[in-house]
Amino acid sequence: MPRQSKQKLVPVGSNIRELPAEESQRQDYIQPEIGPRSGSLHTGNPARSRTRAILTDPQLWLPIGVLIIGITVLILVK
Amino acid sequence: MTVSPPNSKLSSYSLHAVGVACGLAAATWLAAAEAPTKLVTVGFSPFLISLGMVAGVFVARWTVPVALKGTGYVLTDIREKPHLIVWAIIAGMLWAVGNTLTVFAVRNVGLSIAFPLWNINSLVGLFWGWLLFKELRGSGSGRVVGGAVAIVGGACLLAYSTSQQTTHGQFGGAMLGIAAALGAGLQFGTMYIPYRKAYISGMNPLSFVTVFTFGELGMVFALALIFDGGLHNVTAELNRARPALFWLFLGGFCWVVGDLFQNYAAKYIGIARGIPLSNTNQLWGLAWGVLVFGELAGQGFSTHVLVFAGSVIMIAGAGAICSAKASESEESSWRSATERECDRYGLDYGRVASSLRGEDPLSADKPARHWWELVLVAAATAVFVWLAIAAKHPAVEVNVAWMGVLMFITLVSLVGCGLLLWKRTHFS
Repeated sequence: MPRQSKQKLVPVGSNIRELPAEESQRQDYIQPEIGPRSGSLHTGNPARSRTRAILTDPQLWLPIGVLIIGITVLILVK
Repeated sequence: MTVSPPNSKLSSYSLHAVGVACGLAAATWLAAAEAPTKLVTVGFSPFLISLGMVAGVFVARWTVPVALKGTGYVLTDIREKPHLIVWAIIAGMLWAVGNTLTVFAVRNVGLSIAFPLWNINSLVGLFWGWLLFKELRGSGSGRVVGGAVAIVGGACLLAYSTSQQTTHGQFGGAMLGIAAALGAGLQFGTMYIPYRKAYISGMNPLSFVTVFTFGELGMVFALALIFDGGLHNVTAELNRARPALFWLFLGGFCWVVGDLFQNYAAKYIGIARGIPLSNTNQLWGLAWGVLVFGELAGQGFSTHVLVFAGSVIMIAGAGAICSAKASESEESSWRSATERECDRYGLDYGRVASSLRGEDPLSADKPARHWWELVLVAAATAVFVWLAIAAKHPAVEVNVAWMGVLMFITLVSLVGCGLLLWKRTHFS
């Protein structure tokens, strides 16, 4: 028989202890980290990872493209 | 990794109300920024006027904002999200190019055609907010879109009724003028992408605007060099314009305050709501023009009717947006946009979420304030005083009583909204 079957079964969520207000507000309360997903852009080198994250962000190229359009119009209209 | 404690001393005002107040306060200050520039008499190149104002923005950046949070705070914020430096500089460059395009658009097709075209920027911003940051994904979004369209429509009506310019020149020139106006609208509307990007990453608007001014000043200076005949010419023109520089710097100062409020609006209610609200500055600009500078004097009945209709439409649009609080499903969409940023750039989701709740996780780290910040503020103030001493009283008639009334309203919006921001967010 699997080991866990010997444990007392409790309704889901009923064993969650509510933290007192002051305890939940403590500065050292640990939050589970939301880390990078698999296939992430984050490598060992933070600077390189950051550069890669910036350059591969498809949203970046939109304002750059618009800026190029603006400068082109400026050159034409001057 | 830790989550900062909620700032227990913060008041419980709704963040929607804070964002709406910021959008409306931004409108008064952005309009006030135009008033001093009206005092600058003709005879200077548009690039020089733009450069003077942006230089004023740059110097003003080191007065009030530094006094509010200090450079240590700003540097810590930037160090925590260094990827946003690129975005803030791009935003500054977009503003500079957009602003220059408006000069050419007005030259080629006149204000009545150019202004409505570049005023589509709030609709462009609204579209980017919907597409990239999942804004307006819930009930009530129709009211925001309707309100934004009404504000643009009202602004067009005001521009049409108050502008006397007609199209000059050839067909090709007019087409280029229209292209310039549309280009300006696209630049301004796209500038809001970096704004929103910064705030769903938990950045403080004071930090973002700091980097923004570098991109803005650099680009405007480069454009002035290219279009105004090189460094020697620009320097000579700046010397010649020195008696008028104070008014441009004053405009720049007002612009910094207005832009900060606009950024706080973008942070707390998103660009789809915040930008149309701050674009009601056209209404306040009209008040300055008509009441202080007598711009509608001698105009016929039909002009007054158009002005009245345009104003009412704008106010109705702003009212619709003010009452369109983001629904729970939309807020959930905002959170997924935030998660995307945290995932991509390795940000601490707890700290970002805390910042978006109006808390100030950076302050909990107690960034150092330095004695030399006082020197910085004093030096920036001294530049204003130095220019004020050399300033020439402009030969433009103003209605002093109405100027006093509008200045009072503008100051009330500063104090009221500033207090609200402080009580609810501690300028986070």
